[in-house]
Amino acid sequence: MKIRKTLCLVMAVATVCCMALASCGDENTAESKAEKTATNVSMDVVETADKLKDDIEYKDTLNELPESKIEKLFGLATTDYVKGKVYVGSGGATAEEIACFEAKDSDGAANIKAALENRIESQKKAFENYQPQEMDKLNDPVLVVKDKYVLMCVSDDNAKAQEIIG
Amino acid sequence: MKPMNKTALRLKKAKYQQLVISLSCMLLLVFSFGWMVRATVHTDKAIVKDDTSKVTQVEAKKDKVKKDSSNKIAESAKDNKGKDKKSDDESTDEDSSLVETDDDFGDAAFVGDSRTVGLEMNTDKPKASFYASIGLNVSTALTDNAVTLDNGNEGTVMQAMKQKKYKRIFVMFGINELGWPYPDVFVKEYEELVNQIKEAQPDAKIYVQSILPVSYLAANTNSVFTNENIDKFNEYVQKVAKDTKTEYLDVASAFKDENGALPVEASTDGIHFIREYCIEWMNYLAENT
Repeated sequence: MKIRKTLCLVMAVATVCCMALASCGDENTAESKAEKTATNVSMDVVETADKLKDDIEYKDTLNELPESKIEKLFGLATTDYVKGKVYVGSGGATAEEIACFEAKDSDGAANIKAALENRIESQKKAFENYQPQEMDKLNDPVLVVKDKYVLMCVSDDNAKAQEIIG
Repeated sequence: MKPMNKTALRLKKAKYQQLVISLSCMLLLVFSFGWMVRATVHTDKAIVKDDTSKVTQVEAKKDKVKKDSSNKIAESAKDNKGKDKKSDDESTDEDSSLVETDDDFGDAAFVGDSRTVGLEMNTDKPKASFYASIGLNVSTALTDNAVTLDNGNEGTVMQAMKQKKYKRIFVMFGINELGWPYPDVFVKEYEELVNQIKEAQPDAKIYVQSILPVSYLAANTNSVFTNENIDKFNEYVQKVAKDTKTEYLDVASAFKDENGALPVEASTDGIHFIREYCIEWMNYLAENT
């Protein structure tokens, strides 16, 4: 009788411990997920750039800009970003462009954002008398900073670009 | 008998109660353990699944790009006359068209308009210098701060030309001047530009490139963009090369189809080359200079 009672007690305690552990684990996961969303945005800029290219319809044919040209076009050295991908058009046909960068931190992201704003301004100067119809895109580009990520998309479909960037 | 039965019944009842509690505890224990295991496995699976889908997506994309490029090159190989017919093996032709020339153009500078901007952005020649700008013409090339100098500032083409010595300088202008009413002005301004480049770069060989052809799509942008007009202006470009004693490079002939036009798939607007054609243009320059 006594053995059974003890066994019952042990089992009850073990069950309570197990349940507590299991629920704690779940809470932790949920907690970390919430934290991730609030402060640490995680994004693969290469994938985002590819998605912006593949899921949006462009007039121009966009191709990846060699890394060696990023410095000249945006004034960004390879040390200014951790990862980046840029798609450009065929030169002067359209102003369509995609640029996605991951900076080291939010200060770095602010510098990259400034560089992309300069690029947009210089494109405006180039296109205003050359292809004035491109000014609509350039006057309303998608330029988003999310934590340490900077994402730019110059296209005719800002809604889709915003949806992809999230 | 009766009290005996009552005690026995109570004992029996207690026994059942204990058994039910024990079973419930065991069930709860098994359920909790199972829940923990399931939660762990599920999280791992989600991570693995995410990674696998990424890999699959990348692979699919690679295949798509490869396929698209092959198709474009196959079409361009078919349409372009004036190309070397080196091999009967189609696949070899496709592969060789995709490859950029080994010439790094480290001794070269490219001067021009948006078409040269496209050449810079769609080929990988980091050692070459490009001084080109969208909308630039033979007149504004001398006056406007339209190109990026080596120090990152904006400057004129001539300021750029004085930064370092080159062995080869490729110049191409004319598409933005097609609407100019006086060809004499075009010739005069072009010659002025080329002479100033010559003065700044006395040891360099200067190649004045012919104006590239356009496809029928170009007329949508402006009615002056016709191949008849381009052919006429190329005669003026030839005169510029002759008068300035520089070399005329007839790059246009390499991109004309049987109708004397740019194949329609070479450009999205009929004027600016897509990447594959920029690579072919760069390869042409490497082979012919």
